[in-house]
Order: sequence, then C-alpha cells, then structure tokens
Amino acid sequence: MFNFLKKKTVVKTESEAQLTEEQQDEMRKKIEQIKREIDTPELADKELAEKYEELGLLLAQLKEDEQAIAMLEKSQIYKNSIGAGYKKLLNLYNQKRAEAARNGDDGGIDHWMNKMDEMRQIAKQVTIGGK
Amino acid sequence: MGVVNFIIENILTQASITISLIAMLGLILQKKSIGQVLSGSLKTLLGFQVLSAGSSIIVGSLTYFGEIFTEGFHMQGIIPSIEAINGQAMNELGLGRDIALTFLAIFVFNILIARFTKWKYIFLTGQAILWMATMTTVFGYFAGLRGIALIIVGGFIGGVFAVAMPAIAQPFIRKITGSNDIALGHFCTIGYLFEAGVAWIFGERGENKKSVEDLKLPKSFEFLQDTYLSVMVVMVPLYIVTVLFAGETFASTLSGNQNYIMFAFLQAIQFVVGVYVLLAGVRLLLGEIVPAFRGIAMKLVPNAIPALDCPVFFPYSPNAVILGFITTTIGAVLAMFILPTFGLAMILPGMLTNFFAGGTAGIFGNAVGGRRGAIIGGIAHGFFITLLPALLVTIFNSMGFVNATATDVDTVTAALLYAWIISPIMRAF
Repeated sequence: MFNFLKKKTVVKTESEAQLTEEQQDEMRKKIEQIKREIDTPELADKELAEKYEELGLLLAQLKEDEQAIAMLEKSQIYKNSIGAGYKKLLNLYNQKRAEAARNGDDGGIDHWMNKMDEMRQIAKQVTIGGK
Repeated sequence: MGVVNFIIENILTQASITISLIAMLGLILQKKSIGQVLSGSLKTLLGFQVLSAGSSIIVGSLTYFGEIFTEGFHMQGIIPSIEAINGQAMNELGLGRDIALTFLAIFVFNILIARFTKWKYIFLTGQAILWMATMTTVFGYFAGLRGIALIIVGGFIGGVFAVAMPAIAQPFIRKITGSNDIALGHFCTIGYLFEAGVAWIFGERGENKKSVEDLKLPKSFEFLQDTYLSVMVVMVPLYIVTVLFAGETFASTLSGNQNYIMFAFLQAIQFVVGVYVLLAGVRLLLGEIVPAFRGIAMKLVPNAIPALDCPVFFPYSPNAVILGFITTTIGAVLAMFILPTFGLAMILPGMLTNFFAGGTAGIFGNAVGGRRGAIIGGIAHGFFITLLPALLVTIFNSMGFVNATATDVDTVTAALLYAWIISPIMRAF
C-alpha cells in the first residue's frame, strides 16, 4: 500500500503518445469505415452507442477534441455507459474546464463543470442500475 | 441609528438572509446580471425555508421513533442521518447563520490553501461542505466558541479537510484512474483509507491478487436509484418492527384513535417526506452558491485539481462498488448489535451511506488487496463507519438533538477533534 505514497510518473495514455503518420492514416480509414457503418439504417441504439464511442475514442487519439466530445456525447445519448468512452469524455471535459480556467472564462468553467456533474449522474445510474 | 440596529438585530441575525447574502456576493463577484443576482439570492432564501420545513417534519417523526424504540428495546436507537443533524442544527438549535458563514469560510480557506500551497485541490461537492460546516459549527459551539472565532476556526478546519482529504486519497485515485487530473471530494475519505489499510493487511498481494472486476456480481440495485425509495425501504420495516416490540398499549397512547401499526407506517413515510423536502431545500440552497464559488475558485487557482463527488469514480471499478455496498452493510449490521454491548447506542444502518461510502471504499479495498482485501476491508469499513458516529451520540444528546447522529466519517473526525482536543483546551483557559 505504501508504494502508492511514492510519487510516480503518471503513465502516458495512448492518446498522449505520439502517433506516426502511418498510424494516423490507419485511424482515419477506420473512422471513415465506422461512419459508413453508422449510416446503416438497421443499427439498434446499443450498437450505435458502441460505434459512436469507438469513433470518439479514435478522434481523441488524433487530438480532435471537439469532434471526439461530440461523438462520445452522442454515444451517451444512445445508451449511457461507463466504459472507456465515459472515462475519455470525463477527461476531455476536465481538460476543457482547465483551459477555461486558465483563460478566466466564467461561462466556460460553468459549462464544463455542469457537463462533469452530468457524468456523475450517469455513473450513479449505470452503476446502480447495472444497465 | 435605529434603522441600523433594526437591520443588525432583526435581519442579519436571520440565517436565511445571511445565506442569501452569501449567494448574492458570489453572483456579484461572478459579474452576473441584476436579474440573475436577484433570482439566485431569492432561490437561496427559498431553499433555506424549504430546508427548515423538511427539518420540522423529520424531527416530529424521529421524536416518535425515539419513544417507541426506547419502550420496545429499552435502549436508545439512533438513526444515522447527516441531513437530520443539519436540519436540527440550522433550525431547532438556531445555528443556521453561523453554519452559513462557516460554509463560506470553508470555501475561502480551501481557495487560500490551494492558491498558496502545493496542494491544488478544490473541493467541489457542495453538499459535503455544508455537512462539514454543520459539524464544525455545532462542535465549535459545544467547545465554547462563539461569533467570529466559531466561524474562523470552523472555516479553517473545514478548509484543511477540504484539501487534506483529496490529497491523502490521491495516491490511490492515481492508481485507480491512471491519471492525476481529478481527485476525490467526499468527506468519507478516512473510512476509505481505513478500508485500504485493512485490505493491505488481510488482502491478496502480487501474483495472488485477483480483482473483483473479474467476478460476476448481481448488478441490480434499482431501488437505490431513487434516494427516497431507498430510505423508505429501510425506514418502513424499521418503524413497524419497533412499534410491534413497543406493544399496542404503549403505541396507542401516541397514535390516538388511529391503528398503532398504521400510525407507525405513516410516521416512517413522514420521515421520508422530511428527507425529501430537506434535500430539495439543500439543492435549491446550493444551486446558486456552489456554481458561483466554484467559478471563482477555478479562476483564482487555474491549475486546480477538482475534487469530485464519489460516483464519478464508480466506472473505474463497478463490481467493487457493489461488493463494497454489500460488505459495508454487513459490517454496519454487526456493529449495530455489537456496539450496545460496550455501552454505546444502537446505530441503525443507513443504506445511502452504505452504498455511496461503502461502494467507494470497495474500490479502494479492491485496488489495494484484491477480492479478499475488498471483502474483509468492506466489513471492517462498515463497522468503522458505525463506531465513529456512535462516539458522538452522548454529545448530540446533551445538545438537544433528537435521535440522530452524523454519518460522513471525515465530518465525524472533525467533530471528535473539537470534542477531544479543542474543547479541553478551551476549558483549560
């Protein structure tokens, strides 16, 4: 337990690591493919939520934060979940909140903090409901 | 001069006015429009009055429960409810204004500590700060502090807790979330560390460590999704069983012409209604103040680490949350029966605390000691969070609180700090 108390270098997440051009191209192809799949009319809400989550995570890795937020939010609209998409979305909201704080932007702080409050509600509902 | 005296003696002494003025100050500092300032201040005023109404309902129901419990079991039965403590302190004990000012002082001290030290934590769970302000004010008052000293000491102690609790939990949170971006802002942290300690001693280590997340656990606890329904699920059987033990002869003296069991059932519902009204008041009360002050805090400490409420961390270990709830409840039930044998009051289990504090403690236990750590640590945690509030019962009784004790263990620890350290020092001088 006491190892925890030692200051550790926080491990860089996948999105923080530098991507090669090849990897980026690969991801963009994957993004296009998922977008085409989303356009398929038969997809149920659960599948759409998963596709948007995957899309959001790829966009986040490419550092296209605005787009990533939009896709991850869409995923939550189709079906609330607390997987990797949830964690990335919370992380992106917090980044935006910090950016607004650095710029002294009251409206921005309020906006992103409210979004983080919504994440709390989602976590509570999904954990308790087990859905 | 007469007008000034009238304002000081009749307006500023009113808790509802004080807290509205605090909200107004926050909104003005945020440069909100006149309309927003006015509506925000009035909503806060309304929130306080709704909270007071809820408190009266709870006190009525708790008084009845106290009488039937004493008759039925020949001992005092205490309901752990920080809401009931807050309501009674704000209204029946007349400490509302001091609690409101201490609440503001905690915010200010939190910002000052985060701004000028290396601990950049800003505690953002408004409700928890209100509970901390309640406990520091009540126990500061008990220790003999009055006026500005009561508020400054309470604000300082609360502010230190608001920074220290996220800070001591952060090594664990870093391990659980894999980042240092967010912190835990929930005043049950000492309990989480206690569970982590027990899990470290009795849990699995190294290659033998198996996470709870690999297990298949029951996931449906829908009744807890609705706060009020979950309180009702516990309170109704509790009141009915108690009234059966109290017997018809005694219970009928309280129920009048109504059937005594039906009366007990309705009193249990009254308790739930009281919690419903009181929490609606708290939401109205904090709805304007918290966003205003968190905006100010974030601007003054731009590199702040926000300390967020515990459910935000549930997704990082959802099975551990469920296991933590179950094991904490087992520990709390054991403590309910064991503590009275040591001369302490019987503390009835509080399902909401067991879920939120127990669930979060489960995440800590699992992270440190795997499955075995989470199970043994969880039971020990349930016992621990029942024991600490039991230690406060005598003081609460002597101050005139009706059949309730506090729940969140960090606020209880702050109260014990007053009772065991500050109070004797005050008496010595």
